[in-house]
Amino acid sequence: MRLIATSPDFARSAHTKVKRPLELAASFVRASGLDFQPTLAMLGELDGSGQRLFGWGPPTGHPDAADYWTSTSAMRRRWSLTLGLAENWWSTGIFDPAHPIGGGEVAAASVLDYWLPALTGRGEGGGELLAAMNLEADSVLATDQARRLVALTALSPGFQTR
Amino acid sequence: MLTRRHLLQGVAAGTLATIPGLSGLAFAETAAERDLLVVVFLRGGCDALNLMAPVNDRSYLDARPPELRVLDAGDRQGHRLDSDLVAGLDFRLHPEARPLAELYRAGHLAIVAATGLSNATRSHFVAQDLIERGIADEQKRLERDTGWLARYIALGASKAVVPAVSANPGVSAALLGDAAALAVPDLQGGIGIPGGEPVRAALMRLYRAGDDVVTRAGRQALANIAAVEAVLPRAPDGKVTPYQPENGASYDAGGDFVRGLQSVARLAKAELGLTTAVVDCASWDHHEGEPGRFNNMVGQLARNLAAFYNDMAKSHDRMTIVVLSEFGRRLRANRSQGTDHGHGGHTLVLGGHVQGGRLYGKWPGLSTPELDRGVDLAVTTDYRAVLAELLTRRLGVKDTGTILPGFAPPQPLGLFKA
Repeated sequence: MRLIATSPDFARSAHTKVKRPLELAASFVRASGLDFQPTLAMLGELDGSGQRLFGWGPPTGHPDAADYWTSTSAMRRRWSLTLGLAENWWSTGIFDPAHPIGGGEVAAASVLDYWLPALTGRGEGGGELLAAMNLEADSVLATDQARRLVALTALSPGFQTR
Repeated sequence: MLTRRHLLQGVAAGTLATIPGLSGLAFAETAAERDLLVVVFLRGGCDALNLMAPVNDRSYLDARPPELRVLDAGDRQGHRLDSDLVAGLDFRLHPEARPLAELYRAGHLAIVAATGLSNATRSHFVAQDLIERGIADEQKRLERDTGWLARYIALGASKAVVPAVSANPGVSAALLGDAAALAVPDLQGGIGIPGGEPVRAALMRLYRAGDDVVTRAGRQALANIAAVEAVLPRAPDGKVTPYQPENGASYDAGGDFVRGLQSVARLAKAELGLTTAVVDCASWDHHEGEPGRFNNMVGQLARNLAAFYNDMAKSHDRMTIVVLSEFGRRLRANRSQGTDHGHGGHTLVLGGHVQGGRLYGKWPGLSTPELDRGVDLAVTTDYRAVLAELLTRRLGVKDTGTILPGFAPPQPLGLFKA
């Protein structure tokens, strides 16, 4: 076990495995601290993502290949699944993006300082995220804006792998 | 509906040109000339001997109760097929397969009997995996991490926007390795970006640089979505207008298979350069309670396959449909009104260039010594022989070695018109 855990190959394997949709959803719920309640609507979205829980027709198991989980429709569903969880589209629960950083109105840079490493394990990409929402680092965000910024962080490539 | 010309004008005007992966992309000049291949995969192991069989074969009559075989008389007798496959044997199609019998009689449908894997596996997992990789040797599976259709598409160097579609929730394993393959189980709801334009714009920025597998896939997805969305007709309320089949074609009201076929038809008609499509028709694994379920499924398959073919009438000269399953099922029915995993099956080939109205292959017989392992329909035609003939005779492939590695194609069966 030590040999595996300390090997260069193991170190290089970080962020190379594409999360399956269930893992993607679960990792967002855990990272965000969302008070999660599963709903049929959310499970339906998960079903449409290509991961049919107990409903995979052929008895072969889902493919263990990145291509399958990153097809056009799979990517679209991944984005939908994460955005919907972040913004409570399916009544699965609400999370407060400002809570870990003191609550209330917060600066965009503060949101990214906490959530970018929390979600992606890395600190890069903040500039792109700010630009994606036409924000400055010192822009003060309402809760919905902060939630959208966190959601976009989870939609970014860095959150799609483990 | 937007035509290719309109879409090209959109690209030229910059409407779509800002999408990474789409800008500078040319539509295949020969998109309209290259054949469209549609592969329908009957997943679960279709009971071929209940779909098409020699109804007067003594071994067949002895092995199965009437409700698990095609009959030669009565209210539910099968549809007789003209054939010179074996003198004296009366081959018939399942009674619910009337639309297929009509296509057979019209000369559009050919059936290659006793086809399948040369590999002896009875495992769904292994059999589907081998067929979708285009191989027969389990030891070679790890050497082939791409699907046979992806390798076929790669040979053509297609520049089409959407060269391949898997009309299923995920990309079919036969298309694994083709980064541009689209997986859309249903186009009726459109495939817009969740969250609308603000999120799309944000994703464009987040995925514009980077060469890892996810970033590349995201770019491709954004390009594909934009291209497909541009040709989906929408009502004033923004909803995609219901699909209108052509030529009086009538599909069933719903179901994954129907939605998949209609999605393929929409894309094929949208002039995005579609040349390859895979549609799954699932749940053929009937170990118990087969009669009612099988009858319904054969009816669904036959009606909707015929509807799709009719709907695509304008493309008959450049379209071939292949229907296959990972294996057939045991000759002898089990005690649960079902059939267990077997070996040989049948492959259906449908198209305007098909020499239809004939049964092809070599019938191995159904007496115990003639059966594979003494229990299953033997395979006399490797499934790759059908694919190789299709690839070389209709799809412009000169050497099938890359697509079907390790397979030396036999003398062609003569499935296609000259």
